[in-house]
Amino acid sequence: MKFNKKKRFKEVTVKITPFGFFAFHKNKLIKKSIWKKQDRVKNYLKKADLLKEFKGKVGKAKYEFEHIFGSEAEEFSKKQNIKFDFQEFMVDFAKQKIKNVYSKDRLIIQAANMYEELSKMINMFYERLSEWYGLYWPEKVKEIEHVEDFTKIVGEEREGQSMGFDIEESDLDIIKKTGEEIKNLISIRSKISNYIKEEMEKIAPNISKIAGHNLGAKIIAAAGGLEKLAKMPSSTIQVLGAEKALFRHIRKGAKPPKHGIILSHELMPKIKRENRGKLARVLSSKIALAAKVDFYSNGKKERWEEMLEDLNKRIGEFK
Amino acid sequence: MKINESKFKGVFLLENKKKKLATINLIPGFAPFNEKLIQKEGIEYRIWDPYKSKWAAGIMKKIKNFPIKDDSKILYLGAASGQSASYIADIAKKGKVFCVEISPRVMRDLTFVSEKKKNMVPVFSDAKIPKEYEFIGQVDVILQDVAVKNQVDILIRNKYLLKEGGHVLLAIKSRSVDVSAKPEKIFEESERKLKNHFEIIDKKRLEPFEKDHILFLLRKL
Repeated sequence: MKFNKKKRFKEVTVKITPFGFFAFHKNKLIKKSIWKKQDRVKNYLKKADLLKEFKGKVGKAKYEFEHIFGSEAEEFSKKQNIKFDFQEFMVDFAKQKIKNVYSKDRLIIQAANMYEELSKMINMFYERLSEWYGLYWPEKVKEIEHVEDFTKIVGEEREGQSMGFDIEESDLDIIKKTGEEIKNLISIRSKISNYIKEEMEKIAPNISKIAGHNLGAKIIAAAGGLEKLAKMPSSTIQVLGAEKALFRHIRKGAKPPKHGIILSHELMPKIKRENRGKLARVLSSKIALAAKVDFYSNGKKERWEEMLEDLNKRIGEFK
Repeated sequence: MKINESKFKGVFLLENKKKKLATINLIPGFAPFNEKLIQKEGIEYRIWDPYKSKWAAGIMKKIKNFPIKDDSKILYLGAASGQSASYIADIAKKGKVFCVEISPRVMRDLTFVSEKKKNMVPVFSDAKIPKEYEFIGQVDVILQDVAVKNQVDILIRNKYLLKEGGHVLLAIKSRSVDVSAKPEKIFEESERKLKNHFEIIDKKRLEPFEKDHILFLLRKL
């Protein structure tokens, strides 16, 4: 090591800027740490850690800190002969913040919405295709109940007697090809469903158990994220997806809605119609609890057993 | 087509069949929102749609004064994707527009615009917490268009960042304050609150461009 016995300073002022640290002793610059343009945002965000390091280099002293930002920082950069464009820094700063702002639930929300939209499309295409293919083989189309079965038979050559229209090879061919594509859509929909299931188990195991994976994801989507759902009162959760009816109630005094997307819960069809509002209320209170557990424990705590038990007890009361 | 500068500097009137507003494009060829660009005598104008910008709607509704000068320092609360803000930046071409926005989704678009328009400074913060961006110092004008419940309170919180005599353009959406109340009632209430803090120079309802909106032009005393 070179012979440089560290000089001790009594009082040091450190200017903290978006482009580095500058240590002053009695208005004289004694040490600086300047960041390259591409590191500025990153370093500024972890300035607390870097400052410790910097202080280590300056040595023990009585420290004072001064934050310099905005046009002040621009002026100071000129004095120090450093190229610094504050506007550019703010653009990069915003970009970095955008990068860090999202969590996994954002992806699940997109997947849940995609699932919904795909389902609508598949149903629409299914109806169209059964009309189309039905011209040729109406008897077969009548037998089919599910879209999945339909895509298996669509394009098949006719057997036996039929009242269908005798079409040409090329007519049948294009129907068959369309059917193939719809089959692909159905397959990607089930892949998305599996994905939602796996990811929901990770971030929201309790919601998944109370509401089901798909409905749980839909509720998170409607709330605008897991954090928002966790902070939502259960009465709001109860009518998520029924905003139109809710605002009609608030504005014009119409009947309030009893349930929104919660109506598609698997328990709903098993309950008498007049009790579904009650079930919606009980369910949403459990979902509100589950969301709080999931969000604040990062999906680590599982408390759904007691919630389900409680839920079943309540359902028993009005079944 | 005739193009004339309106009584507000930097805001132009295009007269064809219909009257349209425009600004001179600060970055020629750059039209991030698919807005129409019009060339005339070597100058490129950007059409400013009053159905998409409340400030343009205010001008169309003949607001008394438009406080943006070419060197104004502006605090824009609720800049969203920066569409309206980009026109303000055209007018304040030698000034600065600090665009405060909290939603990351629209902030994405705002950064794309700010990368080109160097007088737009994106500030990814909550307008309820001016402490987060008070580093900008005092400004000449505050523009506020945030669709939340306590719109007037937010302005009052930000008031200390406005120079004395500085102007405010405040767009209030009554449906954000209370969906069930009559807009007139909300506007009256807002006005009453504002009177304690500002001189109210003008107010204009924004129909037919925006439903249930009012635009206040204020001055800090």
